[in-house]
Amino acid sequence: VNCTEAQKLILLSRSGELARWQRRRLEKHLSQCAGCRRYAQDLDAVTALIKNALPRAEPPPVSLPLPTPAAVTLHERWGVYRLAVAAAVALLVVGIWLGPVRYRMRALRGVPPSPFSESRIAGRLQSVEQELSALLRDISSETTYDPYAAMDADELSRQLLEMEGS
Amino acid sequence: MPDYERLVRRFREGDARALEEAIAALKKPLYGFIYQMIQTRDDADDIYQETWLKVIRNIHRFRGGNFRAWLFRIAHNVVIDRARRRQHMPDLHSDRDPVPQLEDHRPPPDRQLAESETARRIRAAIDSLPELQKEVFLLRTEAGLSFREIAAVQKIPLNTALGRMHYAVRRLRRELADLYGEPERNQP
Repeated sequence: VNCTEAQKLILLSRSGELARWQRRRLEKHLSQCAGCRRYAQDLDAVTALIKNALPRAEPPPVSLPLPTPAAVTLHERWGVYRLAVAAAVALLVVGIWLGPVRYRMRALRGVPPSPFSESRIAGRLQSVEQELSALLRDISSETTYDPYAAMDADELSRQLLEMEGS
Repeated sequence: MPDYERLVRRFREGDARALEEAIAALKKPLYGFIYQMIQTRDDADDIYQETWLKVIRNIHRFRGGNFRAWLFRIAHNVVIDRARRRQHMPDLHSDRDPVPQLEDHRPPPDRQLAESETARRIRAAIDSLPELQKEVFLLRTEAGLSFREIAAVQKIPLNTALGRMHYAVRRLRRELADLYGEPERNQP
């Protein structure tokens, strides 16, 4: 132990923080070093002087409403609740993000798509479209106006004669 | 010395008196440290109350460990905040000597009356220390903290705390030698 280390050990010895093996080393050094013995004496003298000479003041009473232990527990619980809420939000976000990925993975694996899959909806839309266009065709064929279709043969010949005469 | 960590645990388990016990046991070291750091009664009282207020508000955040170190860390922060607010900030992030200022650093008149000449010299010697050394010295002598606790309060390695104490003691030895009699030199 050199003097610098010994002086640190002296400080630690005054605060009761020395291990037994450190104390033995310090005692051995002090038995051989007058300078460090003097340092230890001065440390004690300075500390005692300051402790005795400085004016003291009484601390005021703590004028604060002390919290009830229940309030502290509630505060601690709120910490747990916050954790639970954060976990739920994280799960929701991950679920939303994973949803479409999962359906695509099902399609890749050849698993029948769910009723809400894109291909199923597209197929259904296509068939609805076909049905609608067929219906429109039927309607248009029924409502096509042929002015001659509704006339009988006499009426038709009369009109033709009128046209020729004019 | 009471087991402060156990007191906090008891308080959380429903024993309302446990916190009062902790306050009663720690009021003198805490106030002694603040009073010697700040030097004016009114400011020391305010900082003392604010420190306990912060402790009470944040007691749910104390996750075990050393309660005294946690308490004095809060006091350390309150002292710095107060100094900043007053624009009279002690340079707690430097080991340099305090910069001489034009302000009057003498204690207030009521305190001057109460102090003896010896006390005034000691006060002046302590005030001449760099702020971090002064804080380490007062945490040790006034608050009775161990060096490991002081290291936790200042968030520094143990060796740095010991070094700051060593330099503080060396300077006080030099300035106050005639007051404590210099034991070995007086021997024949």
